[in-house]
Amino acid sequence: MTCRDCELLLAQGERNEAVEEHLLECAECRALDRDVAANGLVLEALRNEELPRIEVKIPRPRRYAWLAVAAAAGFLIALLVPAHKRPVASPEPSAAPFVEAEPQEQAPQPPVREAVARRPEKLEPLKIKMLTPDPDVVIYWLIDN
Amino acid sequence: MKRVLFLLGTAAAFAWGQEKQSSEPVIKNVELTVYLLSGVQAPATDDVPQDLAAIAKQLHSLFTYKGYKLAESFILRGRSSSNGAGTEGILPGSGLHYYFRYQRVRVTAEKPYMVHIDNLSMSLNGPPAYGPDGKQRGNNQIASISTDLDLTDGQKVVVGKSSINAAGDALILVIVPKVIE
Repeated sequence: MTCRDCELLLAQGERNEAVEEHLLECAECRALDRDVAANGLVLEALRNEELPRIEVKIPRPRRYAWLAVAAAAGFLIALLVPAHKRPVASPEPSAAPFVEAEPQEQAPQPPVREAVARRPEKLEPLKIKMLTPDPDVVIYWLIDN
Repeated sequence: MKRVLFLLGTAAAFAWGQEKQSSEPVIKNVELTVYLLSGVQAPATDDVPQDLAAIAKQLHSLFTYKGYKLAESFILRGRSSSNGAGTEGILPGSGLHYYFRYQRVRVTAEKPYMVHIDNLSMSLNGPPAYGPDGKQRGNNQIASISTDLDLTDGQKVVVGKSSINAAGDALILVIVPKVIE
């Protein structure tokens, strides 16, 4: 028996006569045999040991799915909108004209809405549905938040 | 690229057609029988019509109000997919003004009919208060209920709210929908 055959059998926990004879002759394989036995004892001791609690974070697979949808929608809109309807950046204002144009009546401008502080949104009341033994009677109870 | 766009357009048109077909509104008349009850904390006996005896029994098994009293009842008839309906009046005895309204009612196409009421609201207002200048101040609202509801045709649905006044009484609506064929 070679040392390799002996290592394989020891690793599998199979000890036959050939292995025992080889162990008597080979010091390295005896050392391996001791290590395997020691490892087995350690593993046996760990079996009953309580493992520490760890926090596992599960990645959200669809976290960026909306980005892909938005990008696809934007791409389609850009394809479908005719080029002449796309907004064009206004040119730089030209120099002042030599002849002053007659003042034209300006169309009434819509009032500019001033920014106002946003009111806190009104919370919907909590609605509790209660089923009763009578199937024709359902009770909803509203609780203000 | 044109082929891809063509396929996308065809799929979108097909999906739109399917959705339009399935969401075709069913226009029906819907009659709501509404009972306005109060649940009182003070010792009292029930004062409800026989139609509501089963409901009073269920309410007694769930809540600790000593008695339930009918304050008002009315029938409101509206048409699904229209602009809603509403009514108002004065509660006999108390002088409180009530407003009852819903924004829209929808009815499913198949039996048993399901009635969905959008933005049902009910409010109880006290006598208006006037300032020294003679102008009305505020609406003096005492209690209100506002919610969406899903009801089955003929089902008695109770919508309630606790502690509408200092005595801890409850405002309770009983709504019975009936789809008119």
